[in-house]
Amino acid sequence: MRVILRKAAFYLLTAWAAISLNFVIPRIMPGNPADNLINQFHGKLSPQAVHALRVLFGQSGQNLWQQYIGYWHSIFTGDFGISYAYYPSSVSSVLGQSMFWTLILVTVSTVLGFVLGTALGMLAGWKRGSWLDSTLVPVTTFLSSIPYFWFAIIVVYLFAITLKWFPLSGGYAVDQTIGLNAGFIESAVNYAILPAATITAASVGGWLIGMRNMMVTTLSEDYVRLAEAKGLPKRRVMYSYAARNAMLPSLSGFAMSLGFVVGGSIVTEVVFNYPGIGSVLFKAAQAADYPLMSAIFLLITVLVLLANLAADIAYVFLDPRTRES
Amino acid sequence: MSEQTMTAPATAPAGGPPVLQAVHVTKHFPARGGLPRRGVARRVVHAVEDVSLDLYAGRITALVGESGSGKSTLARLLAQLHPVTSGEVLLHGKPVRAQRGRAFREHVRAVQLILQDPFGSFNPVATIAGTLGRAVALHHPERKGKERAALVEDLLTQINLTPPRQFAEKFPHELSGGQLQRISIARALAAEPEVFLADEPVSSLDVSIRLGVLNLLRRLTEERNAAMLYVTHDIASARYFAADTAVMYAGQLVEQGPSEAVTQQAAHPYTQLLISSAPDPSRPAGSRVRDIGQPPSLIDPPAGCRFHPRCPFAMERCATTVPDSHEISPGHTTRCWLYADDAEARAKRAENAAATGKAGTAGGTGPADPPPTPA
Amino acid sequence: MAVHAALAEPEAAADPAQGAARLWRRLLRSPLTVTGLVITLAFLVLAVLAPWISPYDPSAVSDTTLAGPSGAHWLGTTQNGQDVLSQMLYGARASMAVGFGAAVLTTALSVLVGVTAGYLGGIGDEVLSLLANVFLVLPSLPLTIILAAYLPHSGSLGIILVITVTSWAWGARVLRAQTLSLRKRDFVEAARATGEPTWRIIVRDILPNQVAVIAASFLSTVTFAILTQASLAFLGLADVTQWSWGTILYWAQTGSALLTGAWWWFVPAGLAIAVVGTALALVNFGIDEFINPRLRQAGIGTKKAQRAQVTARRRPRVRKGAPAVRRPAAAPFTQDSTDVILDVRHLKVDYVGDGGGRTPAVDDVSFTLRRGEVLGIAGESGSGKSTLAYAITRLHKPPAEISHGEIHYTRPDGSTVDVLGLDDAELRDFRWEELSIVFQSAMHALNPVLRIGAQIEDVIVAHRPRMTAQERAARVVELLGIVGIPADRADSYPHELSGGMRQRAMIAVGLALDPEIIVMDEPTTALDVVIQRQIVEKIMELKDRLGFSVVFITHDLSLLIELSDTIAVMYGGRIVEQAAAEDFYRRPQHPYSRGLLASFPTLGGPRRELTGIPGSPPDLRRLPAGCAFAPRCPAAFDACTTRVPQLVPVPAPGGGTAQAACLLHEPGAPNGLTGEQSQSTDELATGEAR
Repeated sequence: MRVILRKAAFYLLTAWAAISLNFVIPRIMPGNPADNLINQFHGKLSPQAVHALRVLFGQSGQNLWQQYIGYWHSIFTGDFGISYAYYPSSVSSVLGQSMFWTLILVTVSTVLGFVLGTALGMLAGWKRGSWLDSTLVPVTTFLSSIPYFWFAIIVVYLFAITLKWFPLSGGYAVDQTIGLNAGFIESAVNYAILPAATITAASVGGWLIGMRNMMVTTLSEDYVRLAEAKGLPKRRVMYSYAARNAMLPSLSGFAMSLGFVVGGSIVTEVVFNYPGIGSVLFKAAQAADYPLMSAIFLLITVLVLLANLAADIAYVFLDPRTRES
Repeated sequence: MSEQTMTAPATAPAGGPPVLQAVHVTKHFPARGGLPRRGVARRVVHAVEDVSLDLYAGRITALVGESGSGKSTLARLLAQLHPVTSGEVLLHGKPVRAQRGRAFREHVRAVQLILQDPFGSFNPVATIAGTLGRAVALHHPERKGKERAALVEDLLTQINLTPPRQFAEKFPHELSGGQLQRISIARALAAEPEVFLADEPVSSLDVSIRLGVLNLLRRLTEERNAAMLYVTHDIASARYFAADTAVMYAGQLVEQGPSEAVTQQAAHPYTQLLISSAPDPSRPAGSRVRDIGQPPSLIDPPAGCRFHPRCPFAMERCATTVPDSHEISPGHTTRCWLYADDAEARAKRAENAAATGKAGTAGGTGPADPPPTPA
Repeated sequence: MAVHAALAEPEAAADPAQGAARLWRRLLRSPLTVTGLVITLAFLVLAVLAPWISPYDPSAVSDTTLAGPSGAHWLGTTQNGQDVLSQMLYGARASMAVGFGAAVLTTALSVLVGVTAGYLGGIGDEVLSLLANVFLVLPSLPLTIILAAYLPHSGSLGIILVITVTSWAWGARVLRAQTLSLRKRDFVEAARATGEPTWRIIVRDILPNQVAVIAASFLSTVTFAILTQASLAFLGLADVTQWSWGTILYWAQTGSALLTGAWWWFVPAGLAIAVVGTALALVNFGIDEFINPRLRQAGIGTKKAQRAQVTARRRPRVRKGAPAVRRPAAAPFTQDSTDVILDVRHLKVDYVGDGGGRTPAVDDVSFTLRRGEVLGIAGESGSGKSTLAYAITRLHKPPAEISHGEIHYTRPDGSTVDVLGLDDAELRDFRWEELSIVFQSAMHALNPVLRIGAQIEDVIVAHRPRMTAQERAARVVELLGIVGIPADRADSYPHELSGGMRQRAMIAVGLALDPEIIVMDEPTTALDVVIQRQIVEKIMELKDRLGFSVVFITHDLSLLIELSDTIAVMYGGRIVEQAAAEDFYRRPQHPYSRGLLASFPTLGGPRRELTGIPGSPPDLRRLPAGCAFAPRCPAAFDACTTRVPQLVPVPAPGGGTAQAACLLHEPGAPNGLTGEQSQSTDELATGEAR
């Protein structure tokens, strides 16, 4: 329990650091992005919007401490200002619409990628040197070296344009209304298959290779040799002795990999024009919509931190050695 | 004398003042985990507790104990690799507190540490000449180029690795454990120290080559009139190799004296246990001191004598008060309440003598009979 | 995404200390790694030479728009008629520049932070590692996108800086862990103890031993940076007028290259990135295998490993007989017993090298173990004693291979089993039902994440499927009781037990099925003497009570003499002497045995002279011709350097059957050992050594 509390404290600290970083970035950037943005709108911005922009860039005349307090206030009230890319929608409403899509897409494909990669990595490690190992490793290495977005475009070209098996882009068919009805869900699933498959395929390699290497390392441990010597069935040796122990580093390294997958899926969303956070971030970046960008960064960070906390808790349950204080 | 045989330990008389001394030295390490919090005392590992030990020129002193007894920590305190928590380290009677910088190098020049694992003690990517050259450069900065190379060869010759040139260009993985341990000794020699602190110098070597390394160490001590601390878990080797032996248990020094006296008339119940546990086919088979315990946690060590929870002869005071030092015979002292001069202690002492006598402990007899006087 | 592979290293590194020269030699030996290196170099050369070898100006427009690959335009043209090949070549410049530039900066920062934090420790370490951990969990691509958006149209330098800021942390983490483990290494402590200044220890001891890890981190960062740059350019967040593989993709996507079927515009850039990434990953595999040599071993599940590496000729084996009869209750063993339970004949175990060369680790070893006997096998490092232990249980792993010999096991009912001929299922039954093993280090041999009880129970589940859960639980408690562990400890994990307790638990695992034979490989070596004594007494007590036979392997001859009935001494892969323990101690027959006995300091009795043995144990790869001990032997004569002595019976003092493999015991030996036994023995014992 103490371990989990410590982990939680660490993630709180990280969240604080990320949020503060987000406060600092606009203030240390060269040039005058606020004026550029205001000029772009040729006076069409409301006075509140102009003020909000000045606040964001620390030009409100308050001292830094007051600005920082105000910044925290706006975070807790969920008031991230007005989006310029989606003017005049507020940032929170834009995020509210897109978050759901990304959350489902990324969760499903990350879990799939992890499970598939770890399972295949376990097999490859168990049979290190076999044809399975010598095929899987180069293939997945190549897959994971491919830029996500390029792979996505090839997938679109093959399965959406040439074979027409799946829709080209978007999150659901235009003739459906959003809601919990069968038609919409079916359509959403249909639209999600290609992007999810892309992300899964591209992320499998990382998990696979990590797991395979740990598996091979674990197999030469004395306790695996003893398990064999005990005459245990091969399956028991593979699962309870080798794989379970080999999986632990994968879990503790979840952070890095997750950041990587989330990053890749953002770009993938752009290719599929998927109505998630990635596409929104892309639009925001192109329109220099700073309020929206910083809110997205915060959102993604918090979600990644939560996922990591979950992985850490799983780790604590799988590895009794960490349970001691 | 041939480097291959050994009968009696180096026994230069313990005349003259000690070269290096530990005086009431205590070392507490912070226990792992967590930043210090206000109001909560930080948990510490009581690694070494109030230990005093003297090292004399030309004399080998063995420090015997099990893993975790604090023997290696004490050696590192003497080498000034860790600061002492309390107490003092004296070099030629002068206190030293030299953790870094020039003062530390001065101390190190006089006091050299030799480590246990010969395979781990060498940078795997450097040649032997490279490693020894660094030590020479450090302690003899005035020697450059050819002179330095000559000194390296001289060191290798001193430790009987000849021809030196053949060994100088080798990498550590190309040499055997025994050869590497000799080179460890050469590295220490480069400083021309007055004290060698050898931390289990032969424990990781094969039995058949231990003797050669020990004899080399002994020869160097004698030739240079240096002092040596021989840290070991093998009390039998202390008997053969060291003039004096000190025994540590759980951070405390429990017994010290001439090696023959400590091994043949062991006074402290822990020393007796240690001796009767050591495998030795020369002893008649029979029952030994029975023991199912294990050393205590050093984070929360028992009060009083730290051996008392395992001691079959423990008395009430053992659990509350750290024992005084009692002299058994000249130079042979133990920190054990059995040797106090009162009725209860006398009775327990007789019990102990009977038990160890029957158990066939080394020497077969208990401590000297006339009641010892407190030191 | 070699990022991922490098991740596991701090935990997995078997021997982190490895130098640049050795790394390089190792890498050049693996064809895959060489392929990776060649591809990477080729791309680098193309990038450098781009201005001279490009057929066109990459930005020059022409009338040949959207033309497919042709002789004039090898990779076709864009919708503006620009030459794709020229764009690719120029693009390589920018992409490689960003990749390697960012990798240089990132690695420098990682090394600085990682090594400083790891070496200095204390508060500085806590702060730096906290910082690194924070950066590690921050999602880097979103952060990069935002930073890039603030610096629009920044050139390569801007992107390099942004990538450095977002990706230094994982390298720092790996290097910190590495530095921490190096700092605990004795050679760093030795350097400190000689008084070396810190900076020199870092430069000469720490960094050179991290070359492999630094290289791995560098190469992963190259891949990561190239990918990130491409992503940013593709999103239009980099300067899209500067040609890079990412900007080619950006323009191809804006020009709807794929929709119009212009695959040649779109495919090459992505493929180039993937190929460079794969090539770097291949090099990193090589580095991984260098850092962690275990990665080179074959897995358990392969056919090769499953054959259990027996190439010796097999005989038709005796079928399993009737259900085993319980052996008679613990009849004490006597030296004249002929009730052989394990018969090993002419066993030879080779290590097969990469090039097919064979190094015999165990050579022509024969011995018998009788029911109830404790056979002690003594030997120094490299004597082949552990290889022998694994071979008789068939637990040896490639490259070890049984190339010759026979092992027969006799059940209590008298039926005999050819151990080398057992198939997988039979072998599983043989192990633990008939024979079990106690390993040297219980710390490593017990699974750290399973409870002690579970590790005993799973043997019972596997071999006694009919037992109910209650019966199994009762048996676990019974077994723990037998070895002296309180029953409530069944729910403990191995790390919660002390060293002695863990070793007891190991023994409980070994006793689970009431085996006939227990092979113990240095079961007490890692323990302190007092605990060792407890464990040894427990083993002897259990042996008397349960009546199993023991093969006890150790380097500690005095321990062995105390507990064995019979002793076999190994040297250079062969048994050089075998005798009843009592006889052996009183009158060792082989000069090596004498030397060993004269190396042990004794506690009891008067001090005797220790003579030791000159020289060091032989290297199995370079065994001398003739007797392996000859170069160290005080009594060697000419024939010893040419003839390999065989074990021959020697009359033992107690009238038993000692055997020694020494030419001195053959007729016509110079010292006439056979005739004037006692005299020459004494001569040798007093050690005319040198």
